[in-house]
Amino acid sequence: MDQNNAADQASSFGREKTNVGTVFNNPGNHVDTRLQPQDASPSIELALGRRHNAALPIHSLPAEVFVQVIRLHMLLVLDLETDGEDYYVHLFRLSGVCSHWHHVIRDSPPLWTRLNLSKPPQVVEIALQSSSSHLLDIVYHSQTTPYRLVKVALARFQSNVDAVRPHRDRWRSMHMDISASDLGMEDAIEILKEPAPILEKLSLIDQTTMCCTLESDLFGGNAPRLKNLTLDGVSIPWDSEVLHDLMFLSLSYIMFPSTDVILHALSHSPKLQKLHIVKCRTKSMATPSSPFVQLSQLLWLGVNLRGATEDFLDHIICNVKNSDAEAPLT
Amino acid sequence: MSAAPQVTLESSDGEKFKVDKEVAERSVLIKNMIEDVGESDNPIPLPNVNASVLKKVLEYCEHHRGDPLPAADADPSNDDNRKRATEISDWDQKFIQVDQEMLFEIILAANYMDIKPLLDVGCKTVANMIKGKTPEEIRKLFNIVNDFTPEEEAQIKKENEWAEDR
Repeated sequence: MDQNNAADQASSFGREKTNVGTVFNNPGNHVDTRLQPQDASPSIELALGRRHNAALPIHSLPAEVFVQVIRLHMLLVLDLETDGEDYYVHLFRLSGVCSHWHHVIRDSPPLWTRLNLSKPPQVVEIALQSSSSHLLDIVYHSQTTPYRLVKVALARFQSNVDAVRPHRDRWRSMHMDISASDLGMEDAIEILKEPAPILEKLSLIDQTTMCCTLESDLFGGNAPRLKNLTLDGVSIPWDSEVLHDLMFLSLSYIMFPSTDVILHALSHSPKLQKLHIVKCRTKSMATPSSPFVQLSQLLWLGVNLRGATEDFLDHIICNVKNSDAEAPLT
Repeated sequence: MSAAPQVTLESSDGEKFKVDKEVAERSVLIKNMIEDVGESDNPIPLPNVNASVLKKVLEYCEHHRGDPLPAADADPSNDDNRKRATEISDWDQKFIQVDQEMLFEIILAANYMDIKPLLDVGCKTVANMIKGKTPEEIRKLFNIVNDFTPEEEAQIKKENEWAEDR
């Protein structure tokens, strides 16, 4: 290649490059190579932007302090929305401020431990990935679904169940409210069949039917760290081992086969501190052979068992009064 | 009656502050330093805190000198704890009404000097500042530039749509 050809070629490249705003020292080329805003290389703009952002006072905060700001912000937001339904709306919004916020938020597992099974599977997947190995709080708040979307809601729920199931050794708490759902508890129970080795808190709520009965034992009877159980409109096998060693028990809208079954269940939780039985019924009262249950650590007691409250309380030995004794049954 | 024991703190720009030991010991860093080296007339150096910030920090410590020391992190799922975790007292709110640069300097100093209640006040203040704001409004507030690539921007938009899907 002779020198003239080489110069022509450089000139040609130079003109091409100026189209994307790159400056070339090319003698004899009189094309205006000043950077125009619309022509500026995105990479240069981004680099300048990132340099600018890095020097800002807010970005001088160490990551752990910045994360604390985000956590406090999420608490402020959750104050307004008690069910926390929009938790991830806020979190994703914050991570869209700039790349620094995005990275810090995504790299902070404690921000991602709440898994809402009614959200699209992509959200659950991102949360699962970002939560790393941290303990998980699983929630499902059912919503009334238009008929045409029931299949979509079912598929979404099933997909999320499949995603969280392999992580059951990280489940810390689970709150399943299917009151307004087209899903039956039988769908939800799919994730309640296998052991939950570290689960500490469980709430199952079905106020639609108020007589939902789970035939199989929760977690195969294997949730050894469960201390806090709420059943609202949901019955479980009352001889289940998940009812052992509880510290907080709340039962509502339940029809018990007999008072004895509750007394037997309670006899396995001598360290119970709070017992709440409201708006429940029993098919048969206690008998002379019914057990007496000693709950010496009980701090709070609220019992309203239609027509059988006194009968039930006669078999509970504790140092606190029934807070719900005067409450009317509705 | 003998005077309260005092210590001297030296800021990064060489200014010296003589304060009651009880006030200085609101900082866990200083408390530990005093315990480690014992009583001394030598000033305690604080190479990461300049005089104007240290003055503010000491104003906070002086005001809160008799307060009980903070408890370990409480469970935020409890409503009372959540309320406590986000509330700022009237005096603290007035105290922290400073420009952004000073606000973040105070937070950094509180973090460095290990003064948890002051760190909390700073973090809560920033959390309150961003409450209810869109990303664009947050950028404006802190002079942040949107530095996402078009591809990242598209991905973020998609993620936001997923999150908002009910």
